[in-house]
Amino acid sequence: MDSDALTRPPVAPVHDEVARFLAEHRRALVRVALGLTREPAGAEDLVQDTAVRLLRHWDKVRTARSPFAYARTMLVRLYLDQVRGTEVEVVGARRREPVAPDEIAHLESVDAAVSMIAGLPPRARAVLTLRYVEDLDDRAIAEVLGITRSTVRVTAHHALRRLSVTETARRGRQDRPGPREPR
Amino acid sequence: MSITEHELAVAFRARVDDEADALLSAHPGPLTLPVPEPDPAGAAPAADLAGPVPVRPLPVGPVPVRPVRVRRSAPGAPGLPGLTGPWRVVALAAAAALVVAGAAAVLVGRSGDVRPQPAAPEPEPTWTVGAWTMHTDGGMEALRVAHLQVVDGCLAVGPRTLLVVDPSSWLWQDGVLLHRGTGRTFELGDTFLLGGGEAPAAQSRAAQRDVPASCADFDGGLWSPSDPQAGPAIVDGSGTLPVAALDTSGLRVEPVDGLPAGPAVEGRLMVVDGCLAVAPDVLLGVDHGWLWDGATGALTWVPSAQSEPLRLGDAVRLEGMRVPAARVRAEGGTLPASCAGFTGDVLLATGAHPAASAG
Repeated sequence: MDSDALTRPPVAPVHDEVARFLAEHRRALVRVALGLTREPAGAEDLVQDTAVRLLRHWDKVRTARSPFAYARTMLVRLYLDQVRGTEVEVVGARRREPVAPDEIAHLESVDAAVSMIAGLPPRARAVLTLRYVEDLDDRAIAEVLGITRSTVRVTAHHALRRLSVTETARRGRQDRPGPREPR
Repeated sequence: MSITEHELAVAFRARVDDEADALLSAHPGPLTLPVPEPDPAGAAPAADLAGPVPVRPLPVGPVPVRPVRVRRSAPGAPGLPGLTGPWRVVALAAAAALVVAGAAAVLVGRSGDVRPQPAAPEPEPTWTVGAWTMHTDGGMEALRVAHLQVVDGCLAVGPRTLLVVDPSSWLWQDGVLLHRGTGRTFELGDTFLLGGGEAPAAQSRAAQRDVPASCADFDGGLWSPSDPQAGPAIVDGSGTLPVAALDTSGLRVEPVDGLPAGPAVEGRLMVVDGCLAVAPDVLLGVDHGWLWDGATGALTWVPSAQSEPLRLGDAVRLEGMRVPAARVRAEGGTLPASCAGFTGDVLLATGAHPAASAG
């Protein structure tokens, strides 16, 4: 028996800790995953894959200032990694403005605008999800995605324009939906 | 009409919440975490691995499976629901055997019935024990341990001592000895303290009346009882008398006015509330100068150990100081538990010689 085996932390406690963490934050992670993938099966798979990564990197997660924020970042980046190859194709297919006159009529419906989020590029969905579902400001979104704040603003601008959403002047947080605890 | 960013945000969040609710309600269980793969670096060296484990070969061939039916009854004959095929034959055979056995038991008697039967009523015991009866006006002169028994067909308190009862105070009937004054009852085998006096049967025979024929020639002693002691019965099965002696070692109670400091009590060594006493209202407190042997019921004054020890029932004349038990407690004395609530007096026999006198 080598000495490292004696000092190595047991596996079972980590497994249990991750299980407890996921039981506590599963809903929040599912919400983010649904905002990104826009379909339940994909969201479920994404959370499951995130769980595997959590298990593998639990030491970093649990010592983070906010373990949930760490896990959320892990989930978002995992998603972007998974769709990296498809993003170009999707964006390319929709390079031309997809909004047709009949679709404009649908955009007058808020529900229709929400439904059209699924057609946005993954990074745009990530920005909107983090901004509207997770209620993060641009700086925090930039940290999660590993991009600059200006990139966040530009990405959001393009996404909203495609959704024919009238952007609100961003003067701080007063123009954004108020903080809301995830249900 | 275009929508605002705020409207989109609210609607998007609501949509996600609804989808999350639906997803979690469809899969409410916890996530299945994969079992972590063993780390190659943490694998135990080959030397620590156990050798091949012997595996018992499984029996080869078809294994008979017995169908088990639970609750649901298959068609069958009345009284045998669910039994078909060979099990039905077995059940019928067992039932037939039971019927035959039952009939045989009825014919032969109850020899085949293994259930415990209520015992046949025993005939009422006919007590042929007589009580030597005498009328006496004598008071309690001594105290003895009485073990109620039968000697020569007569009631006795010991193998050499018959019990003589006064019908005005005692009733011997149906195997129970009743003291009319206290209502206490004693049965054969009981052990208790009994005051009274003893005299040779030969000397008393002339004065006796109602002498049972079976013990008319008894040549031992006769015990004429007075009232039975109210204290707990002494169990002599183990040879130890559970009588506590109040230890007054280290207890110094100064004489007070009105309390005699000289010869305090003339009485008998007895047991009151499980404690050694010299009178029903006077406990006896002893210090290191005294030795109480519970096994033999003997109290010895150590400085004069060569003299006969005092025994329960002995008439004694003890010197000492008599003080209320409450004052003993107030001075720090601790009475034995059985007589902790005693409200009488305590004779502090410290430093005093017992003036024992034979009863």
